[in-house]
Amino acid sequence: MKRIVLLPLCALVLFLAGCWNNRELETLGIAVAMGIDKIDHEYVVTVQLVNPSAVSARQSDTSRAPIVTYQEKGKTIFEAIRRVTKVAPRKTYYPHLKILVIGEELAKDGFAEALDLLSRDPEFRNDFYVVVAKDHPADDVLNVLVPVEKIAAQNMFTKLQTSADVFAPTLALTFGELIKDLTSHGKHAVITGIQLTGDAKEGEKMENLQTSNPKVRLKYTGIAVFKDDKLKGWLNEKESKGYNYIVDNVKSTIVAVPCIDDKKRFLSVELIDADTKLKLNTMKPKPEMSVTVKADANIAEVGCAIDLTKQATVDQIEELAEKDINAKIRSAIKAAQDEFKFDFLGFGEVMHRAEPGYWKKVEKKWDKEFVDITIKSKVTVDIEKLGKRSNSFINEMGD
Amino acid sequence: MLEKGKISVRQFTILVALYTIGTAILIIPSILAAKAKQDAWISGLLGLAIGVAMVIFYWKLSERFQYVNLIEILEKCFGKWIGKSVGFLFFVCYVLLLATFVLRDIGDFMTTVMMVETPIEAIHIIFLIIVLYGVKLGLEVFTRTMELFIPWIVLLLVALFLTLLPQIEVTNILPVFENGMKPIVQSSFSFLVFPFLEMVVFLMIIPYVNRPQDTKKAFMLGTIMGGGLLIFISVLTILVVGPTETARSIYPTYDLTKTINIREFFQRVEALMALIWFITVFVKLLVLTYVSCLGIAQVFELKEYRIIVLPIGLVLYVLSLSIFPSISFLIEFTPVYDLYAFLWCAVFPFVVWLVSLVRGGERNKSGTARTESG
Repeated sequence: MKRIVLLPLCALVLFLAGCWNNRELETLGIAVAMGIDKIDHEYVVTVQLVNPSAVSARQSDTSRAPIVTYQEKGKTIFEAIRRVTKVAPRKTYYPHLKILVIGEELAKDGFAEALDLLSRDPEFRNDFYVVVAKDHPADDVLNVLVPVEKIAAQNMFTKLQTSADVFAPTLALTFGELIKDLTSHGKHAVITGIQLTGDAKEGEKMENLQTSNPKVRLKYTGIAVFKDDKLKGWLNEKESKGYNYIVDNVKSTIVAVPCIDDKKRFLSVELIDADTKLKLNTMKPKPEMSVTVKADANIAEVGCAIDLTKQATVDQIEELAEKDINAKIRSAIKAAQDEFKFDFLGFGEVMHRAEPGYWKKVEKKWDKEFVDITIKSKVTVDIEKLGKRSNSFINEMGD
Repeated sequence: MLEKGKISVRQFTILVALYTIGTAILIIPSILAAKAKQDAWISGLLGLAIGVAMVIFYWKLSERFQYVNLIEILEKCFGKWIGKSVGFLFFVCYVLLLATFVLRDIGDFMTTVMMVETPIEAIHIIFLIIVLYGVKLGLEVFTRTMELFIPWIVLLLVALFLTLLPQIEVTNILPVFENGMKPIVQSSFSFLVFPFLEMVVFLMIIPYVNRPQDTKKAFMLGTIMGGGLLIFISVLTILVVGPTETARSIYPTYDLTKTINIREFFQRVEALMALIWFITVFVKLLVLTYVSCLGIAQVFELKEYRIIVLPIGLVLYVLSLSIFPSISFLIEFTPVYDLYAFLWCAVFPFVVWLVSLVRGGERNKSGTARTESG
């Protein structure tokens, strides 16, 4: 008797397993990028979907665009997203979202209200990158077709990651980190900008993929500085790098320093590891803070005849590299204290940790305090290796 | 005796540890971080210390009555009728209610973040079927099953820790003592109520350990292991996610596992990591359902507690769906519930203790004597 009951029960396991609301891959529109703009008090959401038949490895159909974008308006982001179902053939699926592009106009008006959905809805993760479209609305950026890495979102994602890792003028900022910055009282947010070169309309056509030198490209450019959630201005490359040194975001980068005797020729110092410490030095008579950067470096390229076999030469190069880095750091501090007049470098958080009592008093007016704080900076570069040559062959060529 | 099985002291330790972790692992980081912010670990340690003291108190109570179960303790203390009535109230109004919360917790969790479109009823039914099956098999069987779970939990926890190491930012727990002691103490009270005071249900299980006189150390050890792990998870969440986001999150531990990403290769493993709390929630619900069945069966002097497993399960199912209308209600209601639980878990055993002192302990034979409780 028992067995008779047990058997169908066991059989049920086979049929009942699995997810209630499972959706097969071919029924999903996988969203890889999302752009948000605002026009006349309405959000305009642009969603970039992968066009599976055009990117599949086996039978890729190169006559079709690898991505498709859909755009809808709505009073809230979610309304706009759901309205997309009217135009998109499949229900959009967001866990694979790679990048969120915020239009510059929306960024100037303040974009925080647009982000709640992304932090609340379980379909969104918080590891996608956030960038600001410079000079263009977000949808222009998402419409561009790009070669090599054909899914534009993946292209932007990888580009941002690599440039942040090996050159450091950009900031690979994830959504989670952005929320942390937005809610912090000791640091205002910054977001990397993305720019479109060429005519936006041209970039939407397949021709852009069919040439070796595409007319329209997407390029990361500088860092946008926000006060709370409103865009206040842009840092140039020098200041952006300085910013990244200060917030300890530099993993590896190149410092081009002039040859010791010859100011017109340069050599490259490759930083392989940089470590930054922000500190509060003293509170009396006035608060003084400091930035200390310690970097390990290699000589990567020599454009002139110098004697690298002498420690003295290397010492001089170290000093030049230190000067260059220090100048970038100073430029970022200057931008914060003199130009923008608020703290996007995170010195407030350092103060918060070091002097919680004092912080309680100044928390609300920290930006005013910050402008007058003395910030010292010190950079130490250690050059360890020369690559696989000692002196350059240039030394042998004579004049 | 309704329960004829016996468990070993070691099994008891495991049971206590897993029960402590229970549903707490899902939400405790945000409870600790809510008021104490980055000082959550201090609240945690404070809560744990008081929790262990309470556990010792529960054990002393059990020892004083020579390790009979809670209903028998009440009968000896208050006499048959009052004892049974109070016991019935305790099991229905507290233990069963707690079981309902636990079931609803896992249902809410699943339908909020993992399987959003699945009806909560489906999850409750499936979860309950396994739990009721476990209760029916009895104490000895399900504690052995738990021993099997231990290596998996340890493995997953170690994996969780190692994969998150690169993302730890030590600055997240600084500065220490920013807001003084008050928020720390407030948070530690919540931590004490949930989960340490819930240990009171083990008064029903201590009698079935083969050497009950040795359970004191096991009880403490299990509590410290479970509580320590909860503190560890909370600190890890704050170190990785930051105190404000932790406090704002409804399921911070799940958010934590979502951040695991080793070189774009080892990522999106949260469903795997969720196995940790599926197991611990299962254990907690199992223990609570078992204790409710056993307690209620004993109140009515049934020959078998197994015949009321299914009815209790049905009650649980219905209650769990109707107990609160929304998450906001639950969040608002939690401080009230904390006090309510404090009454049943701290004040109530303390009254029992006092009465037993007044009456000269367990030497009184139950049945005839009557004393009004305070």
